[in-house]
Amino acid sequence: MPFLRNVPGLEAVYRDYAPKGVRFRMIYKSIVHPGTNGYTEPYTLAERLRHVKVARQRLRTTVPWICDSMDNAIKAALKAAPNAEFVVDAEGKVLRKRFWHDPAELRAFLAEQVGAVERPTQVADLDMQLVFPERKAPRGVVKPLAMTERMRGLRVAPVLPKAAAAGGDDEAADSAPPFFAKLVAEGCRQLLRTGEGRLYLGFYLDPLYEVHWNNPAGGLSFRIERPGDAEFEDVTGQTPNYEHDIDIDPREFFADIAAAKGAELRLTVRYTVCDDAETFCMPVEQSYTITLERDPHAGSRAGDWMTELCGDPMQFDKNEDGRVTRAELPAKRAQLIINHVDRNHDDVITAAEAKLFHDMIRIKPGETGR
Amino acid sequence: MTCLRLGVVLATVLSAGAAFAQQTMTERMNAGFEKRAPQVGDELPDAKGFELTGEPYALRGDRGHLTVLVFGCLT
Repeated sequence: MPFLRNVPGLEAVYRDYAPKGVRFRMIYKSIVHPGTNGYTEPYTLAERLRHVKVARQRLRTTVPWICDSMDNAIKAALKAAPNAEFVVDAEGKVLRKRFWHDPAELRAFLAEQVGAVERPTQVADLDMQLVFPERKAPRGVVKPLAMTERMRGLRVAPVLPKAAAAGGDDEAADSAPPFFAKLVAEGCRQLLRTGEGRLYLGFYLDPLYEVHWNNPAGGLSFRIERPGDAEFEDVTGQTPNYEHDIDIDPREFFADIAAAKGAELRLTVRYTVCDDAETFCMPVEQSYTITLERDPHAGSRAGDWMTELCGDPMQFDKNEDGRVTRAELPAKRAQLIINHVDRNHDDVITAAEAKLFHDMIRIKPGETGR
Repeated sequence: MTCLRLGVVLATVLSAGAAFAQQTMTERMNAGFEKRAPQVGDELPDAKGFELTGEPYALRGDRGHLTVLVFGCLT
Protein backbone atom coordinates (compact mmCIF):
# COMPACT_ATOMS: atom_id res chain seq x y z
CA MET A 1 0.00 0.00 0.00
CA PRO A 2 2.89 2.44 0.32
CA PHE A 3 3.06 2.02 -3.46
CA LEU A 4 -0.45 3.42 -3.82
CA ARG A 5 0.63 6.33 -1.68
CA ASN A 6 3.52 7.11 -4.04
CA VAL A 7 1.52 7.13 -7.26
CA PRO A 8 0.45 10.80 -7.14
CA GLY A 9 4.07 11.87 -6.57
CA LEU A 10 5.25 9.81 -9.55
CA GLU A 11 2.48 11.27 -11.68
CA ALA A 12 3.71 14.78 -10.87
CA VAL A 13 7.30 13.87 -11.83
CA TYR A 14 6.05 12.19 -15.02
CA ARG A 15 4.13 15.27 -16.10
CA ASP A 16 7.22 17.42 -15.64
CA TYR A 17 9.88 15.15 -17.12
CA ALA A 18 8.13 13.20 -19.89
CA PRO A 19 8.08 16.41 -21.99
CA LYS A 20 11.87 16.54 -21.51
CA GLY A 21 12.23 13.19 -23.24
CA VAL A 22 12.38 10.93 -20.19
CA ARG A 23 10.45 7.68 -20.59
CA PHE A 24 8.42 6.35 -17.69
CA ARG A 25 7.25 2.77 -17.25
CA MET A 26 5.12 1.59 -14.38
CA ILE A 27 5.64 -2.15 -14.26
CA TYR A 28 2.55 -3.98 -13.05
CA LYS A 29 3.66 -7.18 -11.36
CA SER A 30 2.33 -9.87 -9.05
CA ILE A 31 0.04 -8.79 -6.21
CA VAL A 32 1.90 -7.95 -3.01
CA HIS A 33 -0.93 -8.09 -0.50
CA PRO A 34 -3.58 -10.49 -1.82
CA GLY A 35 -7.01 -9.68 -0.51
CA THR A 36 -6.53 -5.92 -0.25
CA ASN A 37 -9.66 -4.39 -1.75
CA GLY A 38 -10.50 -7.96 -2.74
CA TYR A 39 -7.76 -8.23 -5.39
CA THR A 40 -5.72 -11.40 -5.61
CA GLU A 41 -3.36 -12.85 -8.17
CA PRO A 42 -5.00 -13.14 -11.62
CA TYR A 43 -5.00 -16.56 -13.30
CA THR A 44 -4.57 -15.45 -16.89
CA LEU A 45 -2.71 -12.75 -18.78
CA ALA A 46 -6.06 -11.33 -19.90
CA GLU A 47 -7.01 -10.89 -16.25
CA ARG A 48 -3.68 -9.30 -15.38
CA LEU A 49 -4.06 -6.86 -18.29
CA ARG A 50 -7.50 -5.99 -16.93
CA HIS A 51 -5.94 -5.42 -13.51
CA VAL A 52 -3.58 -2.89 -15.05
CA LYS A 53 -6.41 -1.06 -16.74
CA VAL A 54 -8.34 -0.98 -13.46
CA ALA A 55 -5.25 0.27 -11.64
CA ARG A 56 -4.70 3.10 -14.14
CA GLN A 57 -8.34 4.05 -13.97
CA ARG A 58 -8.72 3.88 -10.19
CA LEU A 59 -5.43 5.59 -9.48
CA ARG A 60 -6.17 8.21 -12.14
CA THR A 61 -2.63 8.11 -13.42
CA THR A 62 -1.47 8.82 -16.94
CA VAL A 63 1.97 7.20 -16.56
CA PRO A 64 2.41 4.45 -19.21
CA TRP A 65 2.07 1.00 -17.66
CA ILE A 66 3.65 -2.27 -18.65
CA CYS A 67 2.24 -5.63 -17.61
CA ASP A 68 4.76 -8.18 -16.37
CA SER A 69 4.46 -11.67 -17.82
CA MET A 70 2.54 -14.34 -15.91
CA ASP A 71 5.84 -15.91 -14.86
CA ASN A 72 6.93 -12.51 -13.50
CA ALA A 73 9.92 -12.33 -15.85
CA ILE A 74 10.64 -8.61 -15.38
CA LYS A 75 10.27 -8.72 -11.61
CA ALA A 76 12.56 -11.74 -11.44
CA ALA A 77 15.16 -10.25 -13.81
CA LEU A 78 15.42 -7.07 -11.75
CA LYS A 79 14.96 -8.79 -8.35
CA ALA A 80 12.48 -6.04 -7.79
CA ALA A 81 10.92 -5.09 -4.47
CA PRO A 82 7.20 -4.22 -4.53
CA ASN A 83 7.84 -0.53 -5.25
CA ALA A 84 11.39 -0.69 -6.60
CA GLU A 85 12.65 2.05 -8.88
CA PHE A 86 15.34 2.02 -11.57
CA VAL A 87 16.64 4.79 -13.78
CA VAL A 88 18.30 3.52 -16.94
CA ASP A 89 20.48 5.55 -19.29
CA ALA A 90 20.17 5.71 -23.07
CA GLU A 91 22.65 2.85 -23.43
CA GLY A 92 20.50 0.57 -21.31
CA LYS A 93 22.69 0.72 -18.22
CA VAL A 94 21.40 1.17 -14.69
CA LEU A 95 22.08 4.71 -13.51
CA ARG A 96 20.28 4.51 -10.21
CA LYS A 97 18.26 1.99 -8.26
CA ARG A 98 16.13 2.27 -5.18
CA PHE A 99 14.55 -0.45 -3.08
CA TRP A 100 11.54 1.80 -2.61
CA HIS A 101 10.45 4.51 -5.02
CA ASP A 102 10.62 8.05 -3.67
CA PRO A 103 9.10 10.68 -5.99
CA ALA A 104 10.94 13.61 -4.39
CA GLU A 105 14.33 11.91 -4.72
CA LEU A 106 13.55 10.83 -8.28
CA ARG A 107 12.68 14.42 -9.16
CA ALA A 108 15.98 15.63 -7.73
CA PHE A 109 17.90 12.97 -9.66
CA LEU A 110 16.19 13.78 -12.95
CA ALA A 111 16.87 17.48 -12.37
CA GLU A 112 20.57 16.60 -12.22
CA GLN A 113 20.32 14.57 -15.42
CA VAL A 114 18.18 16.72 -17.68
CA GLY A 115 17.68 19.97 -15.80
CA ALA A 116 15.20 21.23 -13.27
CA VAL A 117 11.64 22.18 -14.07
CA GLU A 118 10.78 25.81 -13.58
CA ARG A 119 7.37 25.22 -12.03
CA PRO A 120 7.15 21.67 -10.70
CA THR A 121 3.74 20.02 -10.72
CA GLN A 122 2.41 19.69 -7.18
CA VAL A 123 0.56 16.61 -5.99
CA ALA A 124 -2.08 18.94 -4.54
CA ASP A 125 -2.78 20.15 -8.09
CA LEU A 126 -3.65 16.63 -9.23
CA ASP A 127 -7.04 15.04 -8.69
CA MET A 128 -5.71 11.66 -7.65
CA GLN A 129 -7.74 10.38 -4.73
CA LEU A 130 -7.83 6.61 -4.84
CA VAL A 131 -11.37 5.63 -5.73
CA PHE A 132 -12.88 2.18 -5.45
CA PRO A 133 -16.55 2.22 -6.41
CA GLU A 134 -19.25 1.07 -4.05
CA ARG A 135 -20.40 -2.47 -4.65
CA LYS A 136 -23.95 -3.75 -4.65
CA ALA A 137 -23.26 -6.36 -1.97
CA PRO A 138 -21.83 -5.51 1.47
CA ARG A 139 -18.34 -6.38 2.64
CA GLY A 140 -17.07 -6.69 6.18
CA VAL A 141 -20.07 -8.75 7.31
CA VAL A 142 -18.23 -12.08 7.61
CA LYS A 143 -15.62 -12.05 10.34
CA PRO A 144 -12.11 -12.78 9.07
CA LEU A 145 -10.55 -16.02 10.20
CA ALA A 146 -8.28 -15.49 13.20
CA MET A 147 -4.78 -16.67 12.34
CA THR A 148 -3.04 -18.78 14.95
CA GLU A 149 0.40 -18.96 13.36
CA ARG A 150 2.36 -17.50 10.50
CA MET A 151 1.46 -18.90 7.11
CA ARG A 152 3.34 -18.90 3.80
CA GLY A 153 1.76 -18.62 0.35
CA LEU A 154 1.60 -21.87 -1.63
CA ARG A 155 1.55 -22.50 -5.36
CA VAL A 156 -2.01 -22.48 -6.69
CA ALA A 157 -3.11 -23.03 -10.29
CA PRO A 158 -6.57 -23.23 -11.80
CA VAL A 159 -7.51 -26.47 -13.52
CA LEU A 160 -8.56 -25.32 -16.97
CA PRO A 161 -11.00 -27.15 -19.23
CA LYS A 162 -9.28 -30.10 -20.91
CA ALA A 163 -9.31 -28.66 -24.44
CA ALA A 164 -7.66 -25.43 -23.33
CA ALA A 165 -5.15 -27.21 -21.11
CA ALA A 166 -4.11 -29.36 -24.07
CA GLY A 167 -3.26 -26.20 -25.97
CA GLY A 168 -5.90 -26.84 -28.57
CA ASP A 169 -9.05 -24.97 -29.41
CA ASP A 170 -9.98 -22.60 -26.62
CA GLU A 171 -13.67 -23.15 -27.23
CA ALA A 172 -14.10 -25.08 -24.01
CA ALA A 173 -12.30 -22.37 -22.06
CA ASP A 174 -14.34 -19.66 -23.75
CA SER A 175 -17.62 -21.31 -22.89
CA ALA A 176 -16.59 -22.09 -19.32
CA PRO A 177 -17.26 -19.46 -16.65
CA PRO A 178 -14.22 -17.53 -15.43
CA PHE A 179 -12.72 -18.29 -12.05
CA PHE A 180 -14.91 -15.83 -10.17
CA ALA A 181 -13.36 -17.02 -6.91
CA LYS A 182 -9.59 -16.86 -6.70
CA LEU A 183 -8.02 -19.26 -4.24
CA VAL A 184 -5.34 -18.11 -1.82
CA ALA A 185 -3.70 -21.11 -0.16
CA GLU A 186 -1.13 -20.82 2.61
CA GLY A 187 0.63 -23.38 4.71
CA CYS A 188 2.21 -23.39 8.14
CA ARG A 189 5.92 -24.07 8.44
CA GLN A 190 5.33 -27.72 9.31
CA LEU A 191 3.12 -28.29 6.27
CA LEU A 192 5.86 -26.95 4.03
CA ARG A 193 8.54 -28.98 5.76
CA THR A 194 6.74 -32.30 6.05
CA GLY A 195 3.47 -32.24 4.07
CA GLU A 196 1.53 -32.53 7.30
CA GLY A 197 0.06 -29.51 8.99
CA ARG A 198 -2.40 -26.67 8.76
CA LEU A 199 -3.56 -25.26 5.44
CA TYR A 200 -5.29 -21.89 5.05
CA LEU A 201 -7.79 -21.55 2.21
CA GLY A 202 -9.29 -18.22 1.20
CA PHE A 203 -11.75 -17.94 -1.68
CA TYR A 204 -11.78 -14.31 -2.81
CA LEU A 205 -14.34 -13.06 -5.31
CA ASP A 206 -12.41 -11.32 -8.06
CA PRO A 207 -13.61 -7.68 -8.25
CA LEU A 208 -13.00 -7.77 -12.02
CA TYR A 209 -16.19 -9.79 -12.46
CA GLU A 210 -18.43 -7.70 -10.16
CA VAL A 211 -20.23 -10.71 -8.71
CA HIS A 212 -21.37 -11.51 -5.18
CA TRP A 213 -22.08 -14.65 -3.20
CA ASN A 214 -25.65 -15.86 -3.32
CA ASN A 215 -25.86 -17.25 0.21
CA PRO A 216 -29.37 -18.80 0.23
CA ALA A 217 -28.25 -21.05 -2.65
CA GLY A 218 -26.25 -23.30 -0.33
CA GLY A 219 -23.05 -21.43 0.40
CA LEU A 220 -19.62 -22.64 -0.63
CA SER A 221 -18.30 -26.15 -0.22
CA PHE A 222 -14.99 -27.73 -1.20
CA ARG A 223 -13.26 -31.07 -1.33
CA ILE A 224 -9.51 -31.67 -1.35
CA GLU A 225 -8.20 -34.90 -2.78
CA ARG A 226 -4.84 -36.24 -3.82
CA PRO A 227 -5.37 -38.04 -7.12
CA GLY A 228 -3.85 -41.50 -7.17
CA ASP A 229 -3.17 -41.59 -3.44
CA ALA A 230 -5.44 -44.11 -1.75
CA GLU A 231 -3.90 -43.27 1.62
CA PHE A 232 -4.95 -39.63 1.46
CA GLU A 233 -8.23 -38.96 3.23
CA ASP A 234 -10.25 -36.34 1.39
CA VAL A 235 -10.73 -33.10 3.28
CA THR A 236 -14.00 -31.22 2.97
CA GLY A 237 -15.42 -27.90 4.10
CA GLN A 238 -18.68 -25.99 3.99
CA THR A 239 -19.61 -22.44 4.91
CA PRO A 240 -22.16 -21.92 7.71
CA ASN A 241 -25.47 -20.14 7.13
CA TYR A 242 -25.08 -16.39 6.94
CA GLU A 243 -27.51 -13.70 8.05
CA HIS A 244 -27.00 -11.77 4.83
CA ASP A 245 -28.34 -13.07 1.54
CA ILE A 246 -25.47 -11.51 -0.40
CA ASP A 247 -21.96 -10.26 0.36
CA ILE A 248 -18.47 -10.14 -1.17
CA ASP A 249 -16.33 -11.19 1.79
CA PRO A 250 -13.81 -13.99 1.32
CA ARG A 251 -14.72 -17.49 2.43
CA GLU A 252 -11.92 -18.72 4.66
CA PHE A 253 -11.10 -22.11 6.12
CA PHE A 254 -8.39 -24.02 7.90
CA ALA A 255 -7.80 -27.61 6.89
CA ASP A 256 -5.50 -30.14 8.51
CA ILE A 257 -3.56 -31.96 5.83
CA ALA A 258 -1.62 -35.22 6.05
CA ALA A 259 0.23 -35.66 2.76
CA ALA A 260 3.79 -35.98 1.52
CA LYS A 261 6.21 -33.07 1.38
CA GLY A 262 5.63 -31.04 -1.77
CA ALA A 263 2.49 -33.03 -2.64
CA GLU A 264 0.08 -31.79 -5.27
CA LEU A 265 -3.51 -31.62 -4.08
CA ARG A 266 -6.62 -31.06 -6.10
CA LEU A 267 -9.32 -28.86 -4.64
CA THR A 268 -12.81 -28.69 -6.13
CA VAL A 269 -15.15 -25.94 -5.01
CA ARG A 270 -18.87 -25.35 -5.48
CA TYR A 271 -20.70 -22.08 -4.94
CA THR A 272 -23.29 -19.80 -6.52
CA VAL A 273 -22.67 -16.22 -7.58
CA CYS A 274 -24.84 -13.50 -9.07
CA ASP A 275 -23.58 -10.48 -10.93
CA ASP A 276 -24.09 -7.02 -9.46
CA ALA A 277 -26.02 -5.93 -12.56
CA GLU A 278 -28.54 -8.71 -11.83
CA THR A 279 -28.30 -10.29 -15.25
CA PHE A 280 -27.36 -13.80 -14.05
CA CYS A 281 -26.97 -16.15 -11.12
CA MET A 282 -24.80 -19.17 -11.71
CA PRO A 283 -23.78 -22.31 -9.85
CA VAL A 284 -20.07 -22.89 -10.31
CA GLU A 285 -17.92 -25.99 -9.87
CA GLN A 286 -14.21 -25.52 -10.51
CA SER A 287 -10.93 -27.07 -9.48
CA TYR A 288 -7.49 -25.84 -8.52
CA THR A 289 -4.23 -27.59 -7.83
CA ILE A 290 -2.39 -26.69 -4.65
CA THR A 291 1.26 -27.65 -4.43
CA LEU A 292 2.68 -27.81 -0.94
CA GLU A 293 5.60 -25.60 -1.90
CA ARG A 294 6.18 -21.96 -1.12
CA ASP A 295 5.30 -19.58 -3.96
CA PRO A 296 7.88 -16.76 -3.96
CA HIS A 297 5.41 -14.48 -5.75
CA ALA A 298 2.46 -15.11 -3.44
CA GLY A 299 2.95 -11.98 -1.31
CA SER A 300 1.39 -11.70 2.11
CA ARG A 301 -2.20 -11.01 3.04
CA ALA A 302 -2.38 -7.52 4.52
CA GLY A 303 -5.24 -8.39 6.84
CA ASP A 304 -2.94 -10.82 8.59
CA TRP A 305 0.45 -9.32 9.41
CA MET A 306 -0.47 -5.70 8.81
CA THR A 307 -3.17 -5.88 11.43
CA GLU A 308 -0.61 -7.10 13.90
CA LEU A 309 1.90 -4.42 12.98
CA CYS A 310 -0.40 -1.44 12.58
CA GLY A 311 -3.46 -2.39 14.64
CA ASP A 312 -5.85 0.53 14.91
CA PRO A 313 -3.65 3.63 14.48
CA MET A 314 -6.21 5.77 16.29
CA GLN A 315 -5.44 3.92 19.52
CA PHE A 316 -2.24 6.00 19.66
CA ASP A 317 -4.14 9.28 19.80
CA LYS A 318 -2.77 10.12 23.24
CA ASN A 319 -4.09 13.68 23.42
CA GLU A 320 -7.45 12.61 21.97
CA ASP A 321 -7.55 15.35 19.37
CA GLY A 322 -8.75 12.98 16.65
CA ARG A 323 -5.36 12.94 14.88
CA VAL A 324 -2.28 10.81 15.37
CA THR A 325 1.06 12.48 14.79
CA ARG A 326 4.35 10.68 14.21
CA ALA A 327 5.42 11.65 17.75
CA GLU A 328 2.44 9.80 19.19
CA LEU A 329 3.25 6.54 17.40
CA PRO A 330 5.54 3.87 18.87
CA ALA A 331 9.02 4.77 17.61
CA LYS A 332 9.81 1.35 16.11
CA ARG A 333 6.58 1.17 14.11
CA ALA A 334 6.05 4.83 13.32
CA GLN A 335 7.48 4.76 9.81
CA LEU A 336 5.68 1.58 8.86
CA ILE A 337 2.34 2.89 10.10
CA ILE A 338 2.85 6.27 8.42
CA ASN A 339 3.78 4.54 5.16
CA HIS A 340 0.64 2.44 5.14
CA VAL A 341 -1.99 4.72 6.60
CA ASP A 342 -1.04 8.36 5.98
CA ARG A 343 -2.42 9.03 2.51
CA ASN A 344 -1.63 12.72 2.03
CA HIS A 345 2.00 12.67 3.21
CA ASP A 346 1.49 15.14 6.05
CA ASP A 347 2.81 12.80 8.76
CA VAL A 348 -0.56 12.94 10.51
CA ILE A 349 -3.12 10.14 10.56
CA THR A 350 -6.74 11.17 10.64
CA ALA A 351 -9.74 9.02 11.51
CA ALA A 352 -10.73 9.10 7.82
CA GLU A 353 -7.31 7.75 6.77
CA ALA A 354 -7.49 5.03 9.42
CA LYS A 355 -10.94 4.02 8.18
CA LEU A 356 -9.73 3.86 4.58
CA PHE A 357 -6.82 1.66 5.68
CA HIS A 358 -9.12 -0.71 7.54
CA ASP A 359 -11.60 -0.83 4.68
CA MET A 360 -8.82 -1.79 2.28
CA ILE A 361 -7.55 -4.66 4.34
CA ARG A 362 -11.00 -5.74 5.51
CA ILE A 363 -10.65 -5.47 9.25
CA LYS A 364 -12.56 -3.44 11.73
CA PRO A 365 -10.69 -1.04 14.03
CA GLY A 366 -9.70 -2.82 17.19
CA GLU A 367 -9.65 -6.32 15.69
CA THR A 368 -6.26 -7.85 15.95
CA GLY A 369 -6.81 -10.73 13.55
CA ARG A 370 -4.82 -13.00 15.83
CA MET B 1 43.58 -20.98 23.85
CA THR B 2 40.75 -23.14 22.56
CA CYS B 3 38.42 -21.58 25.10
CA LEU B 4 39.51 -18.13 23.96
CA ARG B 5 38.81 -19.00 20.31
CA LEU B 6 35.41 -20.43 21.24
CA GLY B 7 34.69 -17.28 23.19
CA VAL B 8 35.58 -15.09 20.21
CA VAL B 9 33.40 -17.19 17.88
CA LEU B 10 30.51 -17.11 20.36
CA ALA B 11 30.83 -13.35 20.80
CA THR B 12 30.87 -12.88 17.03
CA VAL B 13 27.78 -15.04 16.55
CA LEU B 14 25.91 -13.27 19.36
CA SER B 15 26.91 -9.90 18.01
CA ALA B 16 25.73 -10.82 14.50
CA GLY B 17 22.49 -12.19 15.95
CA ALA B 18 21.86 -9.01 17.89
CA ALA B 19 22.54 -6.88 14.82
CA PHE B 20 20.13 -9.04 12.79
CA ALA B 21 17.45 -8.69 15.45
CA GLN B 22 17.85 -4.92 15.46
CA GLN B 23 17.35 -4.72 11.70
CA THR B 24 13.79 -4.14 10.67
CA MET B 25 12.22 -6.37 8.04
CA THR B 26 12.40 -3.45 5.61
CA GLU B 27 16.11 -3.02 6.23
CA ARG B 28 16.73 -6.70 5.56
CA MET B 29 14.71 -6.58 2.34
CA ASN B 30 16.56 -3.44 1.32
CA ALA B 31 19.90 -5.14 1.91
CA GLY B 32 18.80 -8.11 -0.19
CA PHE B 33 17.72 -5.84 -3.01
CA GLU B 34 21.01 -3.93 -2.94
CA LYS B 35 22.91 -7.19 -3.17
CA ARG B 36 20.86 -9.07 -5.79
CA ALA B 37 19.30 -6.46 -8.08
CA PRO B 38 21.40 -5.25 -11.04
CA GLN B 39 24.08 -2.85 -9.89
CA VAL B 40 24.58 0.71 -11.05
CA GLY B 41 26.51 0.45 -14.32
CA ASP B 42 25.12 -2.98 -15.18
CA GLU B 43 23.31 -3.49 -18.43
CA LEU B 44 19.57 -3.98 -18.03
CA PRO B 45 18.74 -7.71 -18.27
CA ASP B 46 16.71 -9.04 -21.15
CA ALA B 47 13.15 -9.70 -19.99
CA LYS B 48 9.80 -9.36 -21.60
CA GLY B 49 6.34 -8.24 -20.57
CA PHE B 50 3.34 -6.78 -22.34
CA GLU B 51 1.98 -3.44 -23.42
CA LEU B 52 -1.61 -2.84 -22.32
CA THR B 53 -2.70 -3.73 -25.85
CA GLY B 54 -1.26 -7.21 -25.27
CA GLU B 55 1.68 -6.55 -27.61
CA PRO B 56 5.04 -7.82 -26.33
CA TYR B 57 7.28 -5.36 -24.50
CA ALA B 58 11.04 -5.79 -24.17
CA LEU B 59 12.81 -4.31 -21.18
CA ARG B 60 15.71 -3.37 -23.45
CA GLY B 61 13.39 -1.78 -26.00
CA ASP B 62 13.66 1.68 -24.44
CA ARG B 63 17.32 2.09 -25.38
CA GLY B 64 18.07 5.54 -26.64
CA HIS B 65 16.03 7.15 -23.88
CA LEU B 66 16.63 7.97 -20.25
CA THR B 67 14.03 5.66 -18.72
CA VAL B 68 12.39 5.42 -15.31
CA LEU B 69 11.02 2.04 -14.24
CA VAL B 70 8.80 1.86 -11.17
CA PHE B 71 7.16 -1.34 -9.92
CA GLY B 72 3.66 -1.53 -8.51
CA CYS B 73 0.37 -3.40 -8.41
CA LEU B 74 -3.20 -2.91 -7.20
CA THR B 75 -2.49 -3.55 -3.55
